[in-house]
Amino acid sequence: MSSGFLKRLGALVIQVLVAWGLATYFRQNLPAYPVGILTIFCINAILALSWNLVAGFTGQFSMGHAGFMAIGAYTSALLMMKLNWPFVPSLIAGGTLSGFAGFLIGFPSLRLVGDYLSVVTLGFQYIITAILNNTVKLTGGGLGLAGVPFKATLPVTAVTLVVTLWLITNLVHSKHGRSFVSVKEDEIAARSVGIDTTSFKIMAFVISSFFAGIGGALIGHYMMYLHPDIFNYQKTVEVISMVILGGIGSLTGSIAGALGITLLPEVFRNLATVFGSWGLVAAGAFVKKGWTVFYAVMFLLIMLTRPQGLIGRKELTWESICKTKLFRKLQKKEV
Amino acid sequence: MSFFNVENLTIKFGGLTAVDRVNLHVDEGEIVGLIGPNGAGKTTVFNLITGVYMPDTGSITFKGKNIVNMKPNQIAELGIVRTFQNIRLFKGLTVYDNIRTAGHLRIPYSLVHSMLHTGLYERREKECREDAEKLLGMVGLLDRKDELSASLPYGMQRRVEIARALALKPSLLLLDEPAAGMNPQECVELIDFIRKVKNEFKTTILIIEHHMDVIMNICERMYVLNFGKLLTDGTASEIQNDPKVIEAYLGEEQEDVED
Amino acid sequence: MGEFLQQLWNGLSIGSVYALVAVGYTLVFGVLKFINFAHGSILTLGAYIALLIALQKVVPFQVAMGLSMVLSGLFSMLTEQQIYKRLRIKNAPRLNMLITSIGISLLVENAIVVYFSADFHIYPRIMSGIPIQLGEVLIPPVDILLVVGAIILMLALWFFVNRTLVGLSIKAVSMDRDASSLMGINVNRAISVTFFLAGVMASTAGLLIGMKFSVNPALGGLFGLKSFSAAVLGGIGSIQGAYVGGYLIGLLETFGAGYISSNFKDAIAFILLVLVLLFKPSGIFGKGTKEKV
Repeated sequence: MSSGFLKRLGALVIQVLVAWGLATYFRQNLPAYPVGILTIFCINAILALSWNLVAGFTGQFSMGHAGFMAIGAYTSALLMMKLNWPFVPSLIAGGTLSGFAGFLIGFPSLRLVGDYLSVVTLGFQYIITAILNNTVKLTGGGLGLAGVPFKATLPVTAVTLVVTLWLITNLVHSKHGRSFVSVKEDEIAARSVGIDTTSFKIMAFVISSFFAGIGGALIGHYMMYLHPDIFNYQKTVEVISMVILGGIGSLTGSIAGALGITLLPEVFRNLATVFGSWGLVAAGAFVKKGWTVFYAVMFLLIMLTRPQGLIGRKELTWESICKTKLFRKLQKKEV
Repeated sequence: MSFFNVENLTIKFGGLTAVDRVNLHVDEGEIVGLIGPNGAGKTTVFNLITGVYMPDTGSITFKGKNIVNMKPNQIAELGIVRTFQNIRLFKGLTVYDNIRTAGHLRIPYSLVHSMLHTGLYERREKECREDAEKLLGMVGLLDRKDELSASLPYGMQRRVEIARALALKPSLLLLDEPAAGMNPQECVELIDFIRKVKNEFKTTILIIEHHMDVIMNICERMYVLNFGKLLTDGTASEIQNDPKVIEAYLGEEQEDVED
Repeated sequence: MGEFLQQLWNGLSIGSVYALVAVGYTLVFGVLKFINFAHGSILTLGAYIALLIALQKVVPFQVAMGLSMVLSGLFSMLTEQQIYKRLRIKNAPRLNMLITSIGISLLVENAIVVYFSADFHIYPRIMSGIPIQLGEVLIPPVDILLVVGAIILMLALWFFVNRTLVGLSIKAVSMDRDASSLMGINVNRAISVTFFLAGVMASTAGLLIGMKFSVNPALGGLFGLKSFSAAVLGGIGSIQGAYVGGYLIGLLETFGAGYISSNFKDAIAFILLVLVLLFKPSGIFGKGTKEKV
């Protein structure tokens, strides 16, 4: 193994340990509520990254993401509950089955373009939900599946996020990543330079579905309860919003967007309390009740004024930090 | 074994026979032209060769292999690469990344290596960067490599597109109206550029063009297409004096002069 | 036999509603070439505006419904003029239009939830609930309103698009927007009218559903997607296709639920959607297009 690879692997290990350490610290020293928020943020970030891969980078606007989450969730939960599998293999199996579903669905769907692809993937999600609702003996169906083992602690989700981010970042900065982007940019041109666009579309779909399955499984192992209605169109839209907010095509953006969307209800909730404490009861109640409308208005404003999202296409890397004016100013001060 | 041979190539779109029993061949090392009035079917021939369309009848043989049923990306892998009339660069990417994206065939490594950034990945990526830089140097675009390809002037975008095609080290390069939209000065530069490409990259070239000065200057031979049918073929001087060709272009000639 | 006729009637009545919504998708797709994900929420909007007006107890419910149709049509038109048009002018990629339409549907649905709550709501009763007996078939009076009302609207729309100048301008714009504007057609007006009509059709569907069943803020989502299925099945861009598709989906769904399994009722429309898109995306009446290289 090359020294470069070992160095990079080492960097990953360090990041994992730091994440684990910090997460454990938070878990032990912060109240349960913020820890829960952070855990959900980590899961959302994984979901956002997974969707960005297939939609932002490869240009396949899949609207069936929640369906893949559902497959991962139920697979992992049931493997642990009915077959007594340990956690990590169940998690991986959940992702793998989702990835496989991504292959089955992607294969025929990817002949379609644009809007049609979106709708067909949405149709598949409804079919998956319908199947889950109707296999009551296995999945609990519409009655839900209770008693899913709690495994998605903050350290676990944080580490999963770090590893997911590492893998996807690597993938994007590789020839496969460039091929994904070429599919989005101009499929005909991509084929003319020898890129098998169909197989790359399927590849993106499968990898994206794999991580969606992981994310879905973590949802189950966090809420300790599953129900097909959790993984519906609204859930897909939630994930899409994170990526749109942060910037379609930017991995940093996905993380930022996930943070934003996770914190948004909290921000509004606190705002409402603040209003209430100032005696502005009506304003408080309005904000508390109506924040979902603000959220939608914000969504529209972004699409109208800054569709590239908060971060656009840029990425936060050491290089980009070094290039910022602030950093250079600090450097000059030291000299 | 012939290098590149097209026999009896035909395609119909509804009631219109866009390409009608066309025969042509290209020998290794040649620069051959494909000319004809607008709508003659020249780009359609390119689309047929590169697998974008499937012919109704006819054969296309490249280095002894029949490529008619192959997909566009397979044909590119085999060594036939094309450029487009309307320039199809990866607009959101830099010049550098346009070239690097096309370099994928020459740096094999699997998905696992991509996701783990192994030593093999590192070595291959280094080769890719070096190849891309060398290529950009040869076409004189190295200093603009980090610019967004869409922000380059038109003439340079053309060069980037040709350079991108060259990244695959093609044996046969298909250029679709590379001089489109160029002024006389740019045409002269293009002529030099194409000659340079042929000499340095040792690639055979089949070129569609309307600018007569470009075609007459660089092509040893050319085919004339009209209404999908092969009108005639020959050397530059033969074609220029052929009454059938002049007649086909009558009315088109005025346009060419003004170009 | 009686069972069959009953299911037939049920399928036709629900099919009428699907057809109403489907034609809205097809009209908008025709002029702007994108799938308006907000269309389903106009259905919900229509249903709830009527309720809102009715709760004021100022006008009779019938008037409230009429007002709702007009107001929903205007709202739909407004979304085009204030939102989609801005994107159109900037030549935004079609993907952005789709994402924006998702945003609009979020806005409408969340607003309704905030104002009304996420529960089911029941309409005031204005028709008798006693079913009419026709042979072995039981027909609730509201069903007659559903079918007849829908058919009247569908015919009116067909007439409008095919026999009036404005309607023809809509057809022209869906065929070739640039050529239409060069021919002196007021493209923006044609598009606005299209959205108004789509809004009226969708809100009517919402009202009819409210009268037959009940309403809830999530109504538009599921209904919208199934109606979209119908539009695709019939051939997106074709008005008669939307009608035929709507009835087909209604019938297939009802018979499927009756004779196969009621659990999979909802999935039937989506399975059909997937099959059509994969095997014959142009649908029954549609035609395909090829990209020029």
